[in-house]
Amino acid sequence: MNRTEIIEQIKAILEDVAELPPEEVNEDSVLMDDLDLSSMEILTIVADVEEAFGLRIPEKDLRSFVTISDLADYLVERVD
Amino acid sequence: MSAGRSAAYIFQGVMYFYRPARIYCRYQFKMQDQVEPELLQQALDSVLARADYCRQRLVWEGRDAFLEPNDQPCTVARSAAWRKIPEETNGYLFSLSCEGDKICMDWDHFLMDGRGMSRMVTQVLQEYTNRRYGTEFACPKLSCSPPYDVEALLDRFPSCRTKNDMQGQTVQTYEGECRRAILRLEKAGLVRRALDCRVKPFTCLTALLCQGLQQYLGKDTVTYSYSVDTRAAIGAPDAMYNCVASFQGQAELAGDPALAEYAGKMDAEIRSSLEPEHQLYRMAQQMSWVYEVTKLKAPLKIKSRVFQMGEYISGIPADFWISYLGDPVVPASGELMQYIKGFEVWVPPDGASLGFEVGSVNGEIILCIQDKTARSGLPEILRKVMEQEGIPVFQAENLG
Repeated sequence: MNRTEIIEQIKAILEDVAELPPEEVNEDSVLMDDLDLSSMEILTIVADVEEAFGLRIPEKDLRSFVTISDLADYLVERVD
Repeated sequence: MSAGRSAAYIFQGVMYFYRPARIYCRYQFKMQDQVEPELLQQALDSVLARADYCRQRLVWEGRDAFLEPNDQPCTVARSAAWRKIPEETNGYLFSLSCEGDKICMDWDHFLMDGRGMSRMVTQVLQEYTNRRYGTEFACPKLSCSPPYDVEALLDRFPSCRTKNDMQGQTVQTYEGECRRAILRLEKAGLVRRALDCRVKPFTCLTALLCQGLQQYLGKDTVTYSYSVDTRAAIGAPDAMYNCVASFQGQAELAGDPALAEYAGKMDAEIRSSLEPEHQLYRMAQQMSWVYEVTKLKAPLKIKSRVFQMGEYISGIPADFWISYLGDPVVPASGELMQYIKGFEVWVPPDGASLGFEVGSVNGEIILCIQDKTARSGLPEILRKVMEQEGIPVFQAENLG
């Protein structure tokens, strides 16, 4: 899966969890500020990402996801 | 829905569905004589006939959990080996067993916390000694308070609602294989040292454990968690379900301060956690997170993962967890304790590297320790710390 596909998948999860239209989300969107996501929504997105990509994200890495790009970079390194 | 099926008490224990593993606990009593299984069975049957809350099984319908009356026989096992709950217990969420002079009560933390189980197991012991030794304990109906109203609690403390709080500092816990150890102290010695320091005995004990873990873990800041019983504060005095608030503190031990120096600060915080309003505020903080996770429209697997990550980023994990049960029989009974020669309580450490479950029996403080650090030498370190403070140690050993 390439980076573009990963970002599309993340956008789909964002739409499902937080009802955010994909066109309102870009790579530089800051999860808490720009997208106004609560910690509950962010954690639900992470849990859904884990399910979708079949991996487990260590809790110590959670705070590194500030933007959509951060999450995508993390997944690009770990998803085949 | 089946007759008698109810979701009324599910919320009170729902957080135990969200843990990485189910939390099974054990109370173990060493009696003065070999236990007679038939009499213990009679005792259990008698108690269960008066304890509707305990006589329930858990059922799932899709994503929803319920409790319903269980009419199956509830048998006493004649081996102290753990039975699978509920698979090997006819659906009951606890398991009573005996072997030699031991009586063991194991249970799923979902249904009852330690204090709730104390009420039930006390009656089982009373019914047993009535039959075995001719005592005349009156054993009234074991009622359970109605579930507390979590929405009323959250409305009372609106600032406790979940916020964007991902900035807390978090302790990295060890998650190795759990090993057990036991430490038995003279209660009078601990109380004496606490009075010297003008702190509560619980504070003194916690402070000394911090000192031991400073050496054991090689860190000068030791984080501990403990829980307080909130039954009185929330108006559910007979709750058998989980009814606690958890607090966290830190001991700063750089420079090896004297016990009295750092225990005073800890004591102020611990005393504050005993104030009913503070307990309810903290309970609201914690249950708001449980409440928000429960409301998620997601499978249990996702809720569970969200809950675990939320606990982590909120800074819940600690180096050690200490739970002080005190006298394991409720109400306290000197007459009943004449027949009990030893007590242990085992609960897996949840959100901490080590767990200390503490009981007080026959003049002893008994610490049942579960350790996930894969380090060695803890009993010896704790013995030295206690003895340096003049507290006699009766036993300090690894149990494997």
